[in-house]
Amino acid sequence: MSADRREDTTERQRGRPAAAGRGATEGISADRREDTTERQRGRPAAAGRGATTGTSRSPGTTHLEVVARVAPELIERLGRVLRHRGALVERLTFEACASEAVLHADVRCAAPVEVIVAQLERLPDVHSVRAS
Amino acid sequence: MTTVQSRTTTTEAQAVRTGAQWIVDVLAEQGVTTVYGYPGGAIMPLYDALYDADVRHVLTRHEQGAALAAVGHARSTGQVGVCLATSGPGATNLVTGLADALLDSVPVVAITGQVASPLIGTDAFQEVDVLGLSLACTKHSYLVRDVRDLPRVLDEAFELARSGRPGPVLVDVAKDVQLAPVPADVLMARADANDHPTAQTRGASPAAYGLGLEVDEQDVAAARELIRMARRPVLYVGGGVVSADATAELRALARATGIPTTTTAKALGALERGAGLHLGMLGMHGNAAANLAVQQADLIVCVGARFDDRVTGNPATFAPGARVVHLDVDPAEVGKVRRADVRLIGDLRELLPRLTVETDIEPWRTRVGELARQHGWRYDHPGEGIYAPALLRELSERMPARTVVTTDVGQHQMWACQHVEVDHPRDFVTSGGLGTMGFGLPAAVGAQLARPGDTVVCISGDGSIMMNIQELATLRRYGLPVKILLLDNQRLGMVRQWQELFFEARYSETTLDDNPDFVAVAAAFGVAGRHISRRDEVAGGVAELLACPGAFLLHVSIDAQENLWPLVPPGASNSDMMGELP
Ligand SMILES: Cc1ncc(C[n+]2csc(CCOP(=O)(O)OP(=O)(O)O)c2C)c(N)n1
Repeated sequence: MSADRREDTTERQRGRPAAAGRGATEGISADRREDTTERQRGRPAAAGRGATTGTSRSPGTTHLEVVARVAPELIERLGRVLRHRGALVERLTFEACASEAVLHADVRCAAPVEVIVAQLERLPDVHSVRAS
Repeated sequence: MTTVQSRTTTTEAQAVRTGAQWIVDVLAEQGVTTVYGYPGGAIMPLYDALYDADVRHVLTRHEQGAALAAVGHARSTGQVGVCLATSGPGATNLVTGLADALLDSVPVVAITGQVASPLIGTDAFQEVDVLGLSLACTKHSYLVRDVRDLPRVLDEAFELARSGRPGPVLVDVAKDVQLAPVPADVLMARADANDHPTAQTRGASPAAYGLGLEVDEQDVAAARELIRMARRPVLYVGGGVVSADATAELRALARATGIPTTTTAKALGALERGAGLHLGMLGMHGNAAANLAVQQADLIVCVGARFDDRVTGNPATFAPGARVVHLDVDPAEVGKVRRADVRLIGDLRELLPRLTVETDIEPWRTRVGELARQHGWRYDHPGEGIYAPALLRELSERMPARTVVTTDVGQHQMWACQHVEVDHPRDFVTSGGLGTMGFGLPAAVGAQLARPGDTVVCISGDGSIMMNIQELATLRRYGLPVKILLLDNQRLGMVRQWQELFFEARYSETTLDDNPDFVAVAAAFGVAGRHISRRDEVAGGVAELLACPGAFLLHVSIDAQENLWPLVPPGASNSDMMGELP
């Protein structure tokens, strides 16, 4: 985890976005071990949990965890709501299994985060949204 | 045992249904009697299934007309409106109508044909990513590539369109899915699943379906206390009351508490005319008395409204001394623009009766009554020309009870909101959130087909009418007796007025002195018409319009320079209304 943190800081300093995918992947693999039981119950691993703990989050960002029914366009739907309602995504991980998907995002938003959460919760496929 | 057997028999009979035939079956099952659409290659199987179906198909002359007719149908009845289109350009033409339905929370199901599954993603002929297009203009949408998914998706689409906060749902169906047989086991599973509340069993979003909205008793008590303590309360009523069918409960609350009321354009008709202290519409072009009362209020009870910018003006200065009780079925609306002191999320029909408390507001009622008298509309006007507000008043007084009024967008729309009164909110159908020019005529088509026994009047402008003028052909095709009142100022009047007021009278592209002869255009479509331009022709013109047994277009020339008042300038407070205030 601390290795991830160092990596990300360097990339950030180069003016590039943190390598969300890479950090996330490493995070997920850690989670995968932990989450075997959840997976066996038919839920995807909480992908971003690993991603978040595994990497630094810049101050002023909010972490969102969205659990939703799987649909091919799910990422687009969630991403569109985030963009349109004024949240800037700094980091994103997503994992889907047969029935459920989990999206983790670090976002920076001008609007109060409750507004973004409420908008995400309106999406018919979304089961739950948590902000932290 | 009997149930199971009959279910099995039904299912066996249905097993031979194709996807297209199944869609038609579901339409009938959902109580849909009329659908609006336009055929094309990718939706031909569905049109074939409609050929000898009981569901009536109405051919509009543009897919936007179909979508807006579905909106008119839904808004004038409360039923789900259904529209159909083919892939590619058919689907793109629906988009404005869907956006209109989204912004005004109208239950619509749109079914589009998509190229066959193997071709999706190949840039095939008339292939557009319709699901992608739909994301920003629907409540939800689906692409069906496997016929096994079709029954579930259609059931969800109707359920979603009408539940919670209603809205448009699009179902894009690949052509091969329309042609494929629906497997028996899928229909059997559906028959079993129908024994359960579908949304819940699918674990879907409670907010989207309006589920699990348990009202906190403490919030109700807090709201009651705020109302009891208020000395200057106002009920600010929006379209949510109409969607929730809560007009009776609203009227009862207003009567019992005596609280002065004002509505948005979408809720016009929710309060009885002449009853209590109803101040009409508020906002940018609202009644001065309504705006002034809201600005002086110490409590706003917001019922199914959303503090839209056309209502609030500068939100920071809106009702500055008021606390807010906000009632809505959509939790996302509460606190979005204006912080609520008490939020009540749920079904308005259940919530409103619980707010009846004894109030102590007589001095306020007197003050509001004075405001209403002081700022009542005046219809005297110099000159021989026709003054649009006076003409609309004439129409309002003469039209039969339960007339449905649809409008287009512009000055004429706001004049209609100000001067035409209806007794039921489903009788006033105007494009509120999207402000869609071209709305009026197709919405009137839908309203007339949905309510054949009622008079339907479309109030339009010379700019707006041209946006869906082709729907005159739909009036003719189905013999629809829609009455069109066309207020012609040879201008894009609303924009011209803003250019005059805020852009130094630089009239950029708002002059329409090359309009066609509208009566001749109507005649070409088999619609009768008459032109009037003098005030002494108003009574006769309106009488002829309403008396004509078939469709009629009354073409009314009005002054190009006439402005709409009052007007709250953009960014200003509702206290700072411009114009010739009475
Ligand atoms: C589809 C669409 N395009 C543009 C506008 C912007 N717009 C709002 S009102 C208006 C003028 C409408 O003119 P007209 O229908 O003649 O009505 P009037 O204001 O003259 O009564 C325009 C262009 C709109 N609302 N909708």
